[in-house]
Amino acid sequence: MDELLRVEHLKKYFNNPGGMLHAVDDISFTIKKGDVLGVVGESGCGKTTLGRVVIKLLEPTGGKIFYEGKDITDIGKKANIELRKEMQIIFQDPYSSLNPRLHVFDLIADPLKSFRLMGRSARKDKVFELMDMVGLSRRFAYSYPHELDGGRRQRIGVARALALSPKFIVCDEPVSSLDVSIQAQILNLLQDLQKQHQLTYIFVTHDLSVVKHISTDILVMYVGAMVEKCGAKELFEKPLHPYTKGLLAAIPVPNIDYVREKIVLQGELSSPINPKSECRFANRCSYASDICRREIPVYEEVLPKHFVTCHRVREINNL
Amino acid sequence: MNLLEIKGLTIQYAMRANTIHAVNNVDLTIAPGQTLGLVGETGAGKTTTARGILRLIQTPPGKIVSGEVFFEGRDLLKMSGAEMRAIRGKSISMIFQNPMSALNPILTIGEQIAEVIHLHEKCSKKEAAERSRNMLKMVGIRPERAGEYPHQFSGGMKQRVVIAIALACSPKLLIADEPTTALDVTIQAQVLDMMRALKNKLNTSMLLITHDLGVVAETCDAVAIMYAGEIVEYGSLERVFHNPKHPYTLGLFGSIPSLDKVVERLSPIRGLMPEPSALPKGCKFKERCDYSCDDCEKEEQVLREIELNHTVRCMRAEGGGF
Amino acid sequence: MLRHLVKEKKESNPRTPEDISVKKALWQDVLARFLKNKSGIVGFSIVVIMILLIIFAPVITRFDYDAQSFPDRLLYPSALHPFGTDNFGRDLFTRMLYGGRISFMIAFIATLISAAIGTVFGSVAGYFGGVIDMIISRFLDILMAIPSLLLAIAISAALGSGPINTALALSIGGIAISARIIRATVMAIKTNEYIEAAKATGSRNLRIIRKHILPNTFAPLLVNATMSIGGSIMGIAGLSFIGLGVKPPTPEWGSILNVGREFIRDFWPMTVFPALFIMLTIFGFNLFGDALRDALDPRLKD
Repeated sequence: MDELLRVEHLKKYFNNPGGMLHAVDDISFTIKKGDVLGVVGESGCGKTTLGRVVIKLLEPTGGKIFYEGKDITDIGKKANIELRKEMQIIFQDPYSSLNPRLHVFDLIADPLKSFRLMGRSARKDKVFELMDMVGLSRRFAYSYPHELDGGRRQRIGVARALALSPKFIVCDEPVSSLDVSIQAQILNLLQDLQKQHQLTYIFVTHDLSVVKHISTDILVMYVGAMVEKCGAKELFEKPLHPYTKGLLAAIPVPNIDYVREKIVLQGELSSPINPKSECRFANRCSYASDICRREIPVYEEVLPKHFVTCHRVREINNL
Repeated sequence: MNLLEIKGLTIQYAMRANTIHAVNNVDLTIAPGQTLGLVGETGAGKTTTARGILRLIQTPPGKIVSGEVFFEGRDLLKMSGAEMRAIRGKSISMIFQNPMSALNPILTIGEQIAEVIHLHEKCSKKEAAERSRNMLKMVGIRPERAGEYPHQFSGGMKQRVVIAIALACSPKLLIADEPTTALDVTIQAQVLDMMRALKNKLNTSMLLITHDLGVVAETCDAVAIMYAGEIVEYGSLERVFHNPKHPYTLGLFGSIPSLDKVVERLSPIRGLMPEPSALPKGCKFKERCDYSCDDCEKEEQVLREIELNHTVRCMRAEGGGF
Repeated sequence: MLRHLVKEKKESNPRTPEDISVKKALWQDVLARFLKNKSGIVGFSIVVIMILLIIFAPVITRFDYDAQSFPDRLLYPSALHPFGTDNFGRDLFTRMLYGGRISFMIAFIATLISAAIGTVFGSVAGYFGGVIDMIISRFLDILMAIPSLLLAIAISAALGSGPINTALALSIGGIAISARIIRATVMAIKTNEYIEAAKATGSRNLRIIRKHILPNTFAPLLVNATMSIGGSIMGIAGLSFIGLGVKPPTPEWGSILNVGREFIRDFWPMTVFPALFIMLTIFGFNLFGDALRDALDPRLKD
């Protein structure tokens, strides 16, 4: 069995003035070693929270997480810290995720220091090795983050995540604050590192073209719930859920000859606070019928390895 | 006649230690009803160009060093402050990137739209309020919501309000600075859809500033690619997208993960944009260019017409190119 | 710091020297910004001149601060006695300089104590939040509810007079202020992703506070401390003025002022000079603190 991570009925709720905010609601999936699971969705869909809960940066409200077959849901604080050597995270914002008072060397050395892993000189070699690995010239070792551009800062974040040689990394929108040409550099770097070190990623993003490029499988989320999950190629060739279809149609494609079905989803995301017991997409869905407003649809395997949460998926797609 | 004609616009910021060459000798034209996309990365000078048109450059440290901006045949840069104010918001209006901070939190959205109308057109308060409700209806917000405050609206809705304010006086030119960057894709699709429809209905010209070539492909008639304060490629949408010639434009297309094709590995542009305070001599893109030769450094590059409606600032692009 | 760098270069193998950037300190930016602020330089100069005067008091004046000379009592300023003499014939200028020593020392100690204790309370409350924050905050509210001078009066009355007790009395009121500042700053810093990043790389809470949070609270703390030194000098003078702070014959600006009050109708130097010194010093510290705040604010970076 080459499964690295399995998540079952994962839930994360937050106490909000208006009620319970269902940030992550009943999510299940499995990631195989060396795969990349892309998680896409619009802002507020819970994808960032999912990434945090999976690596235990936030404690889940319910459900189970298995890492290499072991249940890591309720391990203690100490074991949680030990887990950091296995699971890491790369953050979205290369500005606020770096302490402005530390220079590059200390930023990358920080995880090594907090685990007291090696002596001074070994640590230094390791930091420089990491800088080489992420393509950050050694001459920046004593620069402060504010002196570097977004791409270089994001490379620091990548190096820091790699410092403890983890097997599993959550990439939380690592390129969405970068310009396209820099974005491509970082995407290539992440891909190269993944191949060289047999890493497994969860790649969280709102950018569908990025997720298509980097993922093996894609999970689409909508207001805390999972909507559709299948192989990356299949999702783009054969989206089954009405939301996925609308989402794909909404991406502006830089190709004036690319013709496709035009669907503009009307309305806005429903609130994740105390969601009603109905399909969360029902208020924007053009196929919504009575049952959609009455019952929460189940997540089921509609086609081989293609999971969809929709009451009417078979009707809509003539399956 | 062209609605807007920018000639040789140059804007600099004089800082303590150096001078930032934000916009260098930019020429652009927009015909009535046309949408021009101005594309470039952070720091390319897109926003400065737009602010320059409306003379909203903070002086000091900024300064419009030279150039002419003809709007309906009159040079905006030579107008008096009062004349300019009459044009801003009336004939030319601007939409800013962040809808969250563009609205005043203590005024209702109806009041904010009515204020612009009242300011520019001699009409009663009542009439202005009536027209503001019509504007709301036009951008897809129920007119009953005119009495609500900005915090009661979502990001996409706020951007609709901002657009309603911008279009309230039926401007001839709308400058939209990354109007949908802060929005989610499905909301972006709604807003772009609406902007397209309104533009056609009101026959407004638009200067759309964006970093997203996808948005340009879907909304614009013409496109200008900006790099280090210069226009490096300029032409009709079709010519530029079918036949991109400048190595930077090619690089931009190569950097975007494709939805319609399978690409194993992206081909990014190496390196970084030069600091606008220390621009290199000759071609500004030379350092990052795969096709550069010695001559690129020697000569100041000019925009060359390589086909009808298509100019490129690259000496090697002419005649077949690479 | 520099030595460390040179060593680094040597060890880190065959790379060329320019491969490693020069270790630059953040304070260089701060200094550059501070030097542009004229009123800040004025404030800083006043503070420095005051400190130099009181440190080098024995060199500057040849009088003894408690040498009484009955015939020379209540003399107006002259070349020999630049500020005149007091009711016991002691040189007023000398007493001002030595009195400043006490004022500054107590003010520094009081500020140090309140900053240190305030930092501990503030960072714990801000970082952990929840019940801990509520308990600490309510306690601080109680402290804040009592006017600080009144509190200081009560404490010195209870503890008795003397420099150390005065410092203690003054520091209690300052704790609430500095704790509040630190708490607010910590709460703002806590929302930055780099704190989450530190957690993600396995840092324990204490390490995060020490390494990632406290260094970032340094700027507001320093500004507050600078301002509060001025305030403490005022407080000491106030306490001594009502006879609770430093007791005569130890010279102190407030107590000199207090004694001078008896002669205010017919001998002005004994009230004017101490008042002037107190005013100037507080003015200097406030200008300095203001400029420091601007200089330390990275948002004002051009």
